Formats: sequence, structure tokens, C-alpha cells
Amino acid sequence: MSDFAYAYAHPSTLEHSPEGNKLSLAAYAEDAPTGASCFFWGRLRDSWLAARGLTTLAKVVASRFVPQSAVLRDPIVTAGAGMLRFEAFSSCNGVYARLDLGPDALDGEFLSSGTTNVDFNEPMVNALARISRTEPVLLSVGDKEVVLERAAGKVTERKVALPERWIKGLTAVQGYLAIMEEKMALSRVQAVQLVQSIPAGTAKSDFFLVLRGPRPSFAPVSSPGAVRVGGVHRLRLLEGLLPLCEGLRVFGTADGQASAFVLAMGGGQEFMLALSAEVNRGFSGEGNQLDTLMDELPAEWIVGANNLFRGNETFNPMLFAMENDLAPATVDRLCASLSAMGLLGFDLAENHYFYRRLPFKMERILKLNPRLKNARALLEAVDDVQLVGIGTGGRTEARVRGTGVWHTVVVGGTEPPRCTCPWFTGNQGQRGPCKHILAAQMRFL
Amino acid sequence: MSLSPAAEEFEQIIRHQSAHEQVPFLLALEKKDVVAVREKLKSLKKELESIAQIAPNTWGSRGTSEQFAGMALSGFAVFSRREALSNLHRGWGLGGTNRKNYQAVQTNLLVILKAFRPDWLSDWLQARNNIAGGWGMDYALLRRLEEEQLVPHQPEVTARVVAMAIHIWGSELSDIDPVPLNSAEIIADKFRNDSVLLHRDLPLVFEFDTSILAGSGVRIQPPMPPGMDGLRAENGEYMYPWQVWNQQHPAQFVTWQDVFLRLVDSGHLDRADVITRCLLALRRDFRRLLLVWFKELFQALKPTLDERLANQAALGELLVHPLPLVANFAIDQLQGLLPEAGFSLKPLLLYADNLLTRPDLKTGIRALLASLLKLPRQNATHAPAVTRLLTTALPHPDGLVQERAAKGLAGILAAPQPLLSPAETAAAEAAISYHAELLGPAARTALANWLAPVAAAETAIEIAAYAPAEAFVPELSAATAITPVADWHELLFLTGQVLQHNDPAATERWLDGLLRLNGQLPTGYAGQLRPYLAQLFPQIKKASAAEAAILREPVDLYSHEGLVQAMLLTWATDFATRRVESVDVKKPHSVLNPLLGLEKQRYLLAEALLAGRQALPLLSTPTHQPSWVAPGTLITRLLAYQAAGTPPEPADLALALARTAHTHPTEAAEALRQLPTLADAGLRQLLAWFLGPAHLALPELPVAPAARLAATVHSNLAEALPELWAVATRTKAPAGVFPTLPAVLGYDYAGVSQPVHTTFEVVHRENNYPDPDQPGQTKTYRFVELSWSNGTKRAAPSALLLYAPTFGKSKYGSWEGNWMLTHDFPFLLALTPNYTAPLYEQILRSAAWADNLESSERDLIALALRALLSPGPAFGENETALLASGLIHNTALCRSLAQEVLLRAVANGRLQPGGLGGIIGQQLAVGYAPVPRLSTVLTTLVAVDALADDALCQLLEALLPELPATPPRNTRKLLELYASLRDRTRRAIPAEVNARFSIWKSVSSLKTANRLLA
Repeated sequence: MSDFAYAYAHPSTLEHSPEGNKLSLAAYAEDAPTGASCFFWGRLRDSWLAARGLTTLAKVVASRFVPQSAVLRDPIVTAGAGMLRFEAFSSCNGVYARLDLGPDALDGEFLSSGTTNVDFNEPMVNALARISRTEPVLLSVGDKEVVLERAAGKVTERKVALPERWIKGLTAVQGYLAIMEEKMALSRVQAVQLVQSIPAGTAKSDFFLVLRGPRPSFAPVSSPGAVRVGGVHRLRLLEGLLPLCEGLRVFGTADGQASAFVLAMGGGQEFMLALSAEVNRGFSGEGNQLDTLMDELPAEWIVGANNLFRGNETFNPMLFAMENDLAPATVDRLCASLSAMGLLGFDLAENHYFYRRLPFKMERILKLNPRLKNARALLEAVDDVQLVGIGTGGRTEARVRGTGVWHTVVVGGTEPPRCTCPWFTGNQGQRGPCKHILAAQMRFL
Repeated sequence: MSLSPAAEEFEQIIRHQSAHEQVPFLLALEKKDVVAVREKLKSLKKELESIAQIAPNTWGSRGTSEQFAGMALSGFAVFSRREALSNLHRGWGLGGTNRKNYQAVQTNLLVILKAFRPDWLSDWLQARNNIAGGWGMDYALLRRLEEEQLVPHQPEVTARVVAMAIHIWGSELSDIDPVPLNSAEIIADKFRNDSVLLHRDLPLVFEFDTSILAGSGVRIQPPMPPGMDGLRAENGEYMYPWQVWNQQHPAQFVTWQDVFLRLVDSGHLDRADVITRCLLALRRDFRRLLLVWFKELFQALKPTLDERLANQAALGELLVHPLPLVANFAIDQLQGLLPEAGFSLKPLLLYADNLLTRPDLKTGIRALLASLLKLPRQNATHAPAVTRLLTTALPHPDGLVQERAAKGLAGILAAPQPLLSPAETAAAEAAISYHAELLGPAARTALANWLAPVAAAETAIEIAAYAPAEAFVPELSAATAITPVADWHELLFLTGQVLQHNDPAATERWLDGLLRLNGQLPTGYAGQLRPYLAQLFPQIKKASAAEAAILREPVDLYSHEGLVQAMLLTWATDFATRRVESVDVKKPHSVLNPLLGLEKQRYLLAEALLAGRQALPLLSTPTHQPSWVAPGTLITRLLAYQAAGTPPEPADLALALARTAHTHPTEAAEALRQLPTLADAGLRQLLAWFLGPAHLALPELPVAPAARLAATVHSNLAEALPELWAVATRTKAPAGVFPTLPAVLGYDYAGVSQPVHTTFEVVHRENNYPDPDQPGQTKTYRFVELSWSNGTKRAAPSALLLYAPTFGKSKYGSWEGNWMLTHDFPFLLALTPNYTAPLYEQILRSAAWADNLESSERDLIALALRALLSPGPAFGENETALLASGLIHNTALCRSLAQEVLLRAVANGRLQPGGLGGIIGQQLAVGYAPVPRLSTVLTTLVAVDALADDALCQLLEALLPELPATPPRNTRKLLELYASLRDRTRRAIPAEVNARFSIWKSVSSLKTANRLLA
């Protein structure tokens, strides 16, 4: 299922010429600025290193860690604030990768800000592998010439459906990244040792990254200070990049539901790989933003914030709250609403959000969050959500209609909400609230 | 709505007639009738193609192959583009396996296509090919379509159809009677005789992803007639009909490789062109098996040195292919070219950074480096380029690649005649310094002369001596105290967690919560349990009658999980219907554990207390994590039973004793202070001894009357007191000897007077089977099994003897039993925190009797290892044996779990390094597992901390003397590890180890290691 598809006017290419190579990334922007179809044009200062990053990104999009057929190989690129950010998910949506090329990595011109899909075709990816250390490479994202129409019947274009789960995944990823804490900082040597310590084969159970003495190791059991890394074999995607990095910072959420590895590549380049809690859990299925999305903010607030962030391109949520005299919770809800449309990403290294110029479609909030949509459907029925009573400390008991049964839901107070449904029983709130809890919270809190 | 006459006639034709009537009908179809016929076709397709039950136990579509063919044919006449692309799924293969029918269908198809000329045909063809990969499409038909200008030439479609061509021609040859014996040549002739096929279409298979796979081809053999019989061969063996047929009509197998080689040999294909195309195809991102085919075709062509030199640039391009298969192929081809005059190192230098640091290429890079090292010796001008390549390989993650590069560099830099200019030397030295911190020990040693001395900083090594802790006192504090369930809501939602059946602590809290809140639950609470009942029995969602039946009728429930489910069912009826009794705790287990029976008895007691509305707790409910009962609380509970006039249940009391933290000094003192208020003198005497000092002698106990019957779970407290003494003594002193106890019980049994010892015997086994590769030869597979034994030959006389060793029908367990044990083990382990040896013995017998067992055994080992992570008493022999099994286990997961257990056991003082080293040594000595498994595991634990280093050193000191005079392969690795640990611990080499070293003096593979220790 997809609510939009994109098409390229021509395939991306890496062209060799006596003057140097030119990497032309064909782009298709859903929300292209009027009159602009080229976002960046310029030279890569360390083309070999950038090619390594792009190759790793291509490995991520080509990878899948659960049996799955569909493969989307085309990352999205956000140009803005002097940076190019290439983002992609694995086919299973459990791995998110981002290559950030900062001002030090680029020598060129940002012709416009925007977010676009770029074509990552197989010949181009193969050609990336052949870039040598000293080869100069020009990079263009999009076309310099505006191509509005193509000759009918031309078959050079590729039409690819952008999976909705990418946008859902972007929502969940930024939610996790924004609450992650730095757990470890590893040197270049330790980064290499990390590669060597990745357990052999496919990990069926969780592993935890620990420091044994100075050496990073993966242990199958948790210990104080350890970082939970579900599906640790997915880290092999970084095998080719870790030995090249100057340092590695490891981040994790306090509840161990996601982890991120940020590789400082030097020369203004940074590569980030985020892993979901388990191999069979794609980011798109996480409901970590549902709590904040539950309360509908006035549409004009969201529109206003969108316009503001669109102009500023990056912002720190805490500073933004202080500058605009807003409660942090309100800023969280604003960010959640915008990221639910795929509009916000989070930069761990700088600890700020960045803006993606994707279409501002409020209907995506509901469409991409079925639990929220189902909770609202429960509320629309006359008596599907019934109040039973309010206990001590504001604990509110409700009966919510389930499939063939009525569920008991308790919300409010200082303790976390609970429900008798199988989703809550199985996940104990770790993957966001169920629709019954959401419905009860929306009605009674 | 009335049906148009044309649609009616069409339906009649599809249902009852054949293509003979259909083709004229379609050709005569008027434009005004097309829509009506199209709608009728869609409805017929839906009806005839949908899957339905057509006979009992038989599902399928209702249509016949003729009807499907007719409908598809009509689709080409009446469907629009959209309908054709979404609906016309059947096409060329309509004739099924009957080739005559197939030809007829294609003839009709051509007639229809020529008449209607659908403009969507080429798109449809493309779409069908994308899905079906060209299967079923005849190349001749495609050419006819092109000739009739029905479709343009589509390279991708054509490539896929060509790839299928030999299969279709092979089938045609199989139908000829007799089958020609030169099938390969006949097929090759088909190419030779068609220049369009040979020069335009055949080369396309190098351009696109087709169905050609390594080794794929067509089998040509007349079809076996139905009903053929087998026969008895001369050697007496029965031959199946297909074997007889194969013998009578040997099959010919024609592969794509055969075809290409024949065409090249006969000069119809240009050899150089095919070689180049193979290399170009290998550059692409094809499937692995297709790439293997291109590679094998290249190799089968046996390119000469000149041909390979001519293609060196193309081979160089392959060095950076993402698949190691291709990169290794390129390395292999280029390696042989290195010494040749016409070879240029340029491609290697160009791709050095991308090739020589690839972690997925190890052996290939090592081989390439070995070849490169020879170049400067042959021609000194190569030295700078080779130096550059070697420095690039230095940071490779593989130690052996590093070592080879480092040795090569050292050789060049230290050459008597300088091979490099001063600038080149300086650049190489700078590169060495830059990569210095990434170098492994071997590479460091090789480049020691060019590295800054860094070892000095590492000399301050801390030293500590490890010894196991003498006694273990569980932590009974506010931090570990288990908070009882507070209210109804907590109990309700805890039910969900308990049904997951993975957390013993949650289950205990739930059971305790049920008893605590008995009679205080809200009105109609059972209705709120319905969602949980629906999780167990989804059918109750649909009908309340089903729910009533489930709550009333017997339901099959098994094992520990069944006990929990039974309690929920009982609870849902407000204890009107009791279910625990019916739970089967025996059937699913191949080896019955006595603890399950006692656990069931405990649930029965809880059920009775709940039904009787008695506000009494279970004596055995844990008070502190993970499952300890505080001694004071035990006495308080016993006094509550005394006050309620309810005698304690022996099963519950036995489990309570097993869980009591008797070594906790302050809690035990508090309990002893309360003890005099307990009325039962016999129980008072037992508890006074049990909670008294560790070495308190057993009091004089009454001798059992002659012919005393062993107590059962139904016996009263007085009757069961001797068995409770047996439980108390083994709980308090797992290794103790109690010679007077048999007289008290009236019998002796394993674990009563003497502790149970687990031993293993080594059983060498071999399997012989005919070697499929070498007819007439026998292949022998030898392996070692461990036969674990507890010396027990009979079942325990009393079910109350909860430490009784397992005794069952199966020696090794079964996968069903192991699977069930995996689920029950955490719950059983939580019942006996003081003395877990019998449970671990069961794990050893079930899951550690051979190497390379299956997943159910692996899961058991992993589960048991996880249980060893927490603090507890020093490991006994069974826990030590289990850890040994984990350290040399064939799965990486178990080995890393064992690593973690070892480290934590050192930190908690639980490890017995001598015992562990001894048992591992015995198992390695008989070849139970390869040595590198252990050496790799232990090497990563070196230098974690001083205590662990000392424990590891002790382990090896116990292990090495167990190894035989002819040491197992790779013992060198253990010696190197021992040497490094000795450096860190400064321990003297024990006499037994020295004696072993002197025996190994003459073993050449150990010389280096012996030198390290000298």
C-alpha cells in the first residue's frame, strides 16, 4: 500500500571523464520546490569515504532480516542547513541508516532546500565501489536542467511505490532517537574490535554490548551499563565502515527498545545506524509516538510549527520551548504530530531535529497510525468505551469493546496504563499503548 | 438482466464445447457484443478458477484445462489492457504437459492474435515474463509474434525465453521414439542453424537475469510408461520402477555449458567474445547462482594466459564486486598473472583501498598477498607498488591477513639491498605508525622494529588469587523483598503476564495474590477474566455456550503451564469447578521430575484453600527474590496454620524447606526465637536443627517401625516427618553424609544417606554408510557420546523426596520431553534454590550427551546456563559439568552464555576452576569437541580482570594434565593462552603440568608453545 509513487526522469549514474567523475543522483521530490529540481551541485571533498558511506547505505536498503520480498533501494535525501542527509531503511524496516555529509564534506552549492528520493540503481552502486582514494567526484542531487515532461513512451524512468512503512518508520525512529542517551564512546581501535566481536551466525536472542576491560564485547545477558542490541548480526552492515571511522558513539533508549551507532568518519561525514529492539520488529510497527499523538493539537498550531521549522530547518526542542514560552510536553506533541507525517528527523550528534520537506498532509497522522485510528473509531461508537469508576489517585477503570470480549482498561494516575487485550499482554506497553488504552485515555483523561 | 445471445453462446462454448467452435465464434464476434462477452468471460473465470472444495478432502478449481485454455484464448480477443494485465494470468502454458495440445493452443492463439492484434500484447508479455521468468514460452512462438509484428523485439523477454529454449527442445527430443543418442549435438545444431538466435538472441543471456543456473540443464529420456513394475536385481536388492527405467533408458543430460562449449568448439561462437561476455556478466548484480554459472563457463573455456592477460582490466574490475564469490574469482585469476611481463599492477593499486580492507575476503587476500610478496624478488621495481598494497592491507580485521602483510613489509624494509627510495620508505613507515594501534600481536611482532615501544605501558598488571567462596548467604533485605499483590487490578493484569508462562516470580505473586485477595474481589470479577480465557480458548469469543462448556467440561491441560491454566479456569468459575486435579504432569515428560508432582500438590492445596475461603498463605510462597523463603516468615506461616487449626501439607512444607534461606544468620535467629511457640514437637525438632548452625549434628531421631511404608503426598505431617528430614538434611548440606537417616525412614535411597554423584562414561560410536561419491566404498562417521549416570536404578519410594534423581524411561530424553522441560525448567529451578544439582543432572542427561545436538537440546543448555548467572552457592559437580558443556558447545550462543557464566561465577566466588578444567580436559582428550572452541572462548576472557585471569590459569592447570600424550589438534592454542595467563598471573607451573610438558617435548606442533613457557 502506498499513498504516492515516485518516478525518475533518468537513472542515477556515475560517469567517468578525464576531468573527474560525476555522480548524478536522479531525484524525485514529492514536495519539490517550484522551479527547482536540483538540490545540490558540487564536489565531494573525500569522495572515497563518501562512496564507502553510500555503499553501506545501499547495503542497508538491499538488506532484509526477515523473509520479505519487496525491496526498495532508493534512499531519501534531505538538503538543507548546509548538509546532505541520506536516509534509508532495510526492507524489513528494522534498520535505519543515515549518512550525513556536513559542510566540511561538501564543496559546492545548495541550489534549494528540500527532501527527495534518489535513485540507487545497481550499476551506480557497483560504480561507487570502484571509486579510488584520489579520484575527484562531482555530486549532483537532482537535475540541473528542469525536466518537466518526458517524451511519451520513454522507458528510462522507474516507477517505485514508496512504502508507507518508511514514513511510519521515520516517525518511530525520530521518536526513539530523541530520547536516546549516549552509552559508550569507542575509539577507532575499539570500533575494529567491535566488528570482530559480532557473534557468528544469525542471532536469535538479544545481545548486550559491554566493555570488558577496554574491549567491547557482545554478551547474551544484560549487565549494568550494557546496551541492548537486538538482532546483533544486523551490525554486520557496518563491517566495511567501522574500520574506517575515527570514533564510534553508541546510544540507546533507557528501556532498551532501540539502539544507535554513530560513526564519526572525519571530514564532516557521519554515519548512523539505528536498530529496532528485535529482528522481527520493524520501526514502522512501533507505537512509541502514540501517547503524544493521542491529543489532537489545533491544526493551526501544527501548520504554524510546520512553517516555522520549514524555515529554520533545524531546532533544539528544549531551546524552542524556552524561546517560545511553550511547555516541553506541547513541543513534544508538536514534534510528534509533524514527525507522524515524516517531516522531522533527529540528529543525535547535534541533539536537534531537522526538517524534511515532505508534503504536509495532516491525514497521514491517522492513516499511518492505525491504532490511533482504531481508537478514534471506538470513540465514535455510542457505548464502546464505558466508564466503570475512578479510583484512588485518579486511576480510572473503563470497559472497552474488543473482538468478542470486553476489555478492562485502567488509565490515569502515576502508574502506567494497563489493558487485558492480547497486544498489551504480549508487549506490556513496550511497543506503545493498544487502541483500548488510547480510547480510554482520550475519553476520560 | 437478460443475457445477450453472443454471451450466451460464448458461455455454452466454454462450458461444453472446444476450441474448434470457439475460434470461429471469436473471429465472427461483432464489436457490439465484445463488452457482453468480456463480462461473461470475467464471471466464468471467477467461477471456474476459484478454489473450492470439489470432493471430500479435495480442494481445487472447478474448470478443466480445456476450459482454462478457452478462456485465456478469449481474453486475447476481448480484454482491454487493464483487464489483460490484471486478469490474464494463463497464457502460453495452457496445453499443460500434453505437447500436442500445447501446439494446438498456440496455433489457435496465433490465429486470434493476428485477427485482433491487441496493442497491450508486448506489455503483457513483459509482465508475464517478470513473474514467470519465461517459463512455458516457446522461442519459436516468440519469433512468430515478432515476424507477424505483433510484438517488437524485447531483449529482456527474449533473453528469458532463450534461456528456456533447451528445456522445450529437450522435451521434444524425449518424445521422439527412439530418443536420439546425440541430443546435445542436435540442440547445438538448432543454434547453429538459426543465425538470429545465434548472433542476436543467444548473447542476451549474458545481459539479463535469466533462469540459467549453475549446473542447470535438460534431462532427455523417454517418459516412463504408467504402471511399470520394479524388479529384484541379481544381488537381491529391489529396484524401483524408475531405477529399472533408468537402467533401460539411460538419461542424457544437456547443460547450457555443454551447448556453449560445443558452439565455441565448432567456431559458431567467438571464443574471445564469450570470455569477455562472461567477465562483463560477472560485473553485474545478478543472483549468486547465475554468477556461479558465468564463472564456471569462463573456467570451462580454460582461457589461456594470453587471453587472461588481454582481459586483465575486466578481471580487475571484478575485484570490487560486492559478492566475495566474484572478488575471490578475480583474485584467483589475477594471481597467476602477477609474474607475467604483460601484467600491470595498476588495477590492483586502483582498487587496493576497496579490496584489501574487505572483511569478507580473508583467504583470497592472504593468497594474493603471498603472490605479491614474490614480485620484488623477481623484479625490484615492483617493490614500491607492493609496499603500497601491503600497507593498505595492514588494518584488515583478520589477524592472518595482517600478519602476512606485516611480514612482507618487514621483508621489504629490512632487505639488505634497499628496495625503496627514502621517500617511499618514510611513507611506508608512516603508514605502519598510523595503523599501529589496529595491529594484532603477530603483526606487531613482525613490525616491532618500525613501531614505537608501547608495551612498556602495559607492564603494570594487577595480580589477584581466586578461590571459591566458602558459604553463600542469600540477600534477604528490603531491596529483594517481594511485594505482595496490592489490589484486584494488579491481580487481574498480572494474570496476563502469568499466562505467558515465562516468569516464575510473577506466577508465585499471582498465586499468593489469589489467596490474599480471596473473598475481596469485586462482584462479577469473572467477567473481567474473559479476555484472558479467550486468549487460551479463542472459541469463547464467538459463543457464550462455548465459554460455558469450557468452564464446565474437562479440558486437556499439561505440565506446569497446565497448572496455571487450570487455576485460571477454576478461578473463572469462582472455584465452583476444580481443575487442577485433572492436569497431567507426567505424560509429556520423557523423564519425570519429582518436583512437578509436588508443585501440582501445592496448586491443589491453593485451590482447596481458595474454594474453602481460608485466608491462609502457602508455606512455600517466596518472600525474597528470586525464590527464597525467609526463615522467620516460615515460622510465622506455620503459626498461622496452627492458629487456624489446619495442619500443614507435607508437600507444601517440603517445598518451603527447600526454599528457606537457612544460612541467613539474623533471619534464622529470629525464626529460632519464635520456634518454641510451635506446638508440633516433631516439626519443632526438625526446624531447630535445620535453622541451627551449619555443623550441628543430626539429633537422635525415632527409628521407623518395621515395614514402614514410605510417605505419599497424601500422608499427614506425622507420617511424612521422616521424608521431611530427608529433604531438610539435603537442603542444608548438599554434600553431607547422614548414615542414621535410613533407619528413620525405614529405607535408603539415592540422596538420603549419601549425596548423589553424577558420572559420565565415554562411548565411542561410529556410523557406516555407502559413500555416494565412491561406489563400493563405505564412509565411516565417528563420534563420541557421554553417558551420564547418577547410579540410580529405581524410582524414589516417596514422592516427597524432592531431590530424588531423575529416573525415567528414556536415557537421553526426547525432543518432546526436552521441549517441555525447557518450558518447565525455570519454574522447577525456582522451587529448589538451595540445592539445584538434581535438576542440572537432568539437563546433562537430556541435552549434553553428544556434540552437535539439535535445537531443543541447545535451548535447554542455554536456559540452564542462564540460571547459573545469578549469585548462589559454589558450583557443585553438576553445575560445573554444565558450564563445561557450555564452554565447548557447538553453538555460539551457548559458548557466549558460558563465557558470561564463567566471568560472573568468578566474581561471585561460585567457580570451581579445578573441577571445571578437569572435566573439560577429560572431554577434549576423547575428542568430544575441538580444542579451538574452548581456546577462542577463553582467549576473549583474558585481561578482563586479575581475578578472572587467575581463575582461568587454574582452569588450564587442571585441564592440561588431562590431555593425552598425543595431544588433540590445536592444543598449541591452549598452551599459548596458558603462557599469556602465566605472564599476567605470575603463577608457578604445577608439577602435573610440567610433567605433561615433558611428555609433549617431542611433539613438533607444540614446540613454539613450549618455548613460550620455557
